[in-house]
Amino acid sequence: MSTADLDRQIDQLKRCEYIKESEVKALCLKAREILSEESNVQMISAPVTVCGDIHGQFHDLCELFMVGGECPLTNYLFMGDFVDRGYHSVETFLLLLALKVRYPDRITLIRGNHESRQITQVYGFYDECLRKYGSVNVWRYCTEVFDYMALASVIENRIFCVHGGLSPKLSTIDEIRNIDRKQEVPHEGIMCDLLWSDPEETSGWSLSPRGAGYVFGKDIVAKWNNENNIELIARAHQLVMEGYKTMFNDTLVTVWSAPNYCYRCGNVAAILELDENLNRSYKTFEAAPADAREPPPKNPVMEYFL
Amino acid sequence: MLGQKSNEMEFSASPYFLYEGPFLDKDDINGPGFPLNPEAPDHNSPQADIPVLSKANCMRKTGDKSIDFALYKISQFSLSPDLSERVKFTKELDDLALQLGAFNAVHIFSILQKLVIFIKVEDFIEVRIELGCQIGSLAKIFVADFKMYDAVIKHLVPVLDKLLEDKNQDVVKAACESVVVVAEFLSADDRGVAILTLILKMLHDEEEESRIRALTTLKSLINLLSSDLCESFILKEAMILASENTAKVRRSVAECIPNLSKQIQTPESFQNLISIFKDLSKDSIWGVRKACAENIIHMFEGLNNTSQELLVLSIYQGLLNDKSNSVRNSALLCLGPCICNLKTNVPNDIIDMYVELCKNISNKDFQYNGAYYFPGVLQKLGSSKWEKLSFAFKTMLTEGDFKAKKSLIAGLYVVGEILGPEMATKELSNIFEDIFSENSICKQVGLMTLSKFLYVILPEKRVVFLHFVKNLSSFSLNWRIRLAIAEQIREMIPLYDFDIVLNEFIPIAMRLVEDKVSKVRESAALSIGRLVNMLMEKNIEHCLLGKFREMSLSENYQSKLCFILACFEVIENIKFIDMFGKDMERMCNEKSSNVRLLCARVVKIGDEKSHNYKYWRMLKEKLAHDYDADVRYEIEGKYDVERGISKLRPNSEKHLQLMTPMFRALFPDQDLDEIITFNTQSLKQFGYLKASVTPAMNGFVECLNFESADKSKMLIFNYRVL
Repeated sequence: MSTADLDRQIDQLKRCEYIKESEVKALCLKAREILSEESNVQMISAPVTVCGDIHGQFHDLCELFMVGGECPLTNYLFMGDFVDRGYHSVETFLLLLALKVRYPDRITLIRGNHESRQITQVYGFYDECLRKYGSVNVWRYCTEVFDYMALASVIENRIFCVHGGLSPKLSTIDEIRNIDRKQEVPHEGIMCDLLWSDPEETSGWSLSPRGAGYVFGKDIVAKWNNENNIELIARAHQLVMEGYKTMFNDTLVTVWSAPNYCYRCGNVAAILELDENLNRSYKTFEAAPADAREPPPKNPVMEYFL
Repeated sequence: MLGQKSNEMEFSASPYFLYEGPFLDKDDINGPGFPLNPEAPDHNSPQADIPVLSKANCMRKTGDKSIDFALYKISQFSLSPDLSERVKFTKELDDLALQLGAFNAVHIFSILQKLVIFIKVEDFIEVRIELGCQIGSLAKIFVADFKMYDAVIKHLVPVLDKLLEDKNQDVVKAACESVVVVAEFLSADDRGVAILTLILKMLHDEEEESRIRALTTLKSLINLLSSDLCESFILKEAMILASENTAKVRRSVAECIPNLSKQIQTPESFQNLISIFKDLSKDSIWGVRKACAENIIHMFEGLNNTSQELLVLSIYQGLLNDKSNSVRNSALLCLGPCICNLKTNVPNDIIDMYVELCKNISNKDFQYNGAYYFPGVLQKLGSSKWEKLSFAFKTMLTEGDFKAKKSLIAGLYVVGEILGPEMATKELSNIFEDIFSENSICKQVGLMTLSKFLYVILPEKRVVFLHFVKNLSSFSLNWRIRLAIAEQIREMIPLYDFDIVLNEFIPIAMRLVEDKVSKVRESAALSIGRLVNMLMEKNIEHCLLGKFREMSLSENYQSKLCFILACFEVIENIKFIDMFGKDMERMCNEKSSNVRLLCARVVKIGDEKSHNYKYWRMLKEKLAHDYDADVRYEIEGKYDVERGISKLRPNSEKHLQLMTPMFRALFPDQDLDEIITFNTQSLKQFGYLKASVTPAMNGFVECLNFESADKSKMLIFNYRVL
């Protein structure tokens, strides 16, 4: 795959046109090779823009790039949940993947709980691949890439980024490095917790109502940050109507980047911009205007709110 | 494989001009099927051009793209019992053909032949539909890429013939679409003999659906056929089918006639055609009349003013007064484009109808249609009819639907152009001012065309619009409005006095360059660049120059990016290097690679349009050896470390050590399962390799020492842990 091919595919995907199945296969193979070289905890330098869930809302991803700046002039960290729910999971994921292959150092993709075979079969990505390509091959290629995605990321050794949250079985970042991540998201264990847990204004650990992962409180965050010399945990995974929400004296933030989630929630989205000196700046944005969208399909994906 | 050597010898003796480059690998020359391919051009023929054997006409691919793999796919396709597999391979026939190349196209023919035989017993509709879709792409490949024109007639047209006989209408539809594509690649004679024959056969089919499908295909095909063919065959068919009992067929004929009218040349035939259309426009079935109304606009397109007036206008007027609401509405929706296309004087009753259409606020479709075509209608009727049209225009703007309003606002400057400066200022300025009290989308649309509108009104009135721009740039919460202003500033600068530019536009641009939205900042940065350039050209000392420099000194990398973006507008200025050369140089040494990446883009342009070759060459040289591969790519246009490939054992220790992310950044377009080896002509390269690799080793080693080796395809990359 040449750079020119890749640039052409990126242009095509930016127009929300999906690329050929054979191109998807080549792209996924290449992406897998790149991702397999990344650590479970990917180290990133500032400046970088941290983004939360996208959930197949392609036109809102374009909006995000307009607000935050285009890659490669802006570095990005996407904290998972690229697919499901939205109408354009295929285009969304493939665009991010193509950018990753084209600019491996300028965009980092970490895994969310929706980057999983089981979840995508229920919440839309599987059906969308089948509808758009006539077979499940593209879904298969993409889910193989999911297995290779990093589980977390650390920006300048100060900001820990993960899709869900912490795990009671985890006390240091180094322990994440020991996980064999190249697998389907398990139902329990550290890998599952990193992708499924949520913070709450309580203390200690408790079971998550989601059925996977845990709910953790302020003291857990304080202990984690202290032991790992971290100043902030940035995570996604939960819808925040204002786009972002800081907790526990600004030691944890939830960033949500899918405006008007599921095309009906009415929320704004946000991104977290970190400059060279790790100064934080939250940018909020609304859903792309109607004339920038295509009409939605007649059979929308099933309802699911958390 | 065994015959490789002898084939190479054959080539050296054959009348080919061998490509003078790296030698081609075995697949290039001895791909399966060569030289037995019967379709390949006969180079022994004295008339034949001597082909150049080069990479351009020989596929040089490995792995999944090899000829062997394409052949494997063919065997899979023929054998696979799995429907989805077969659909997939049928979908990839065009890719497969490209992979095989012209010399091996025989394999595609054999698949097609198999499929044609198979079609009789094939139960899988999906495969047939995909095959129907593929024929068009294959025709393009055979003619444009392989120069195998005859193969289209010999192998593709028979397949189309079979598919058009299919009982499933989806298959026929896919084949019909391919018929039009194939026709585009054939000569005028072959279109008649090979393609039109297929369609005429369908027109005589007993099945009503087939006849309708044929007429639909004919609608697109007519433009590709000669007027002789149209008059001799299609016109006659149209005359017969127009008197068919089935209304759907008559309707399809009505849809075909406008295109046919553009091809018919003899007056007698034309009269016949118009008389068919006239009869159809008075058909007892409203659906047929509606088809006439929907297509009437195309009847106007190809005719001269006399024919329009004598032949078609009366038909149109009849349709506008039709007893059926549906027919009348369809005719009314064509009013705008019909007026625009009329070469004769527009009758008053038609103008009145258009005005009524625009004023009809109860029907959104009518109003949008009226608004959309308003500038075109006014252009046709001229400013003298403004008085007649202005009321409708104002009604649409004040009481109209949002969509109609948006359309009118976008075309307001065209209306101004037609009216002329005095009238535009008098009639439209207030209307444009009112737009700024509308909703944000109307404001946005208005702002996007503001500079064009200002251009068509009197200069003294332009000042009025400044305070809207100022207010919106400060207080608008909608970033798209701020973006529209940032974009407009560049266009508006030449329309105002220089004092106004200095006092009004510079503060707006400076505010917008600090906007929180990247797109707005980028656009404002370009405006600032233009303003800085103006100041430099006029030799004016202004605080903007200082502020411009401050952007490069900011602690925030986004300000630095804006500075560099603005430089795109300034670098051609002869004073740039004296005034901002040091700042630009500093940017090239910035810590953030994003800043250096943008610098590389500026430097590349600076070098091309240079006033100071030495300065730009120095920066180019510096960035060409940047440790970031993307920065070097911007300068060189390619990933600049030459490398050969030799296999590396997967999961070996060396593989684990070398395949780090930074390496991948350096070699994004290579097969990463293979070890990278370097052609080490320049020791400089090792500087940034070392700088790149060392941090990427991420704790594996403290330092790496790179040693060069000879240029060969053997492993020449050595590393030693110190």
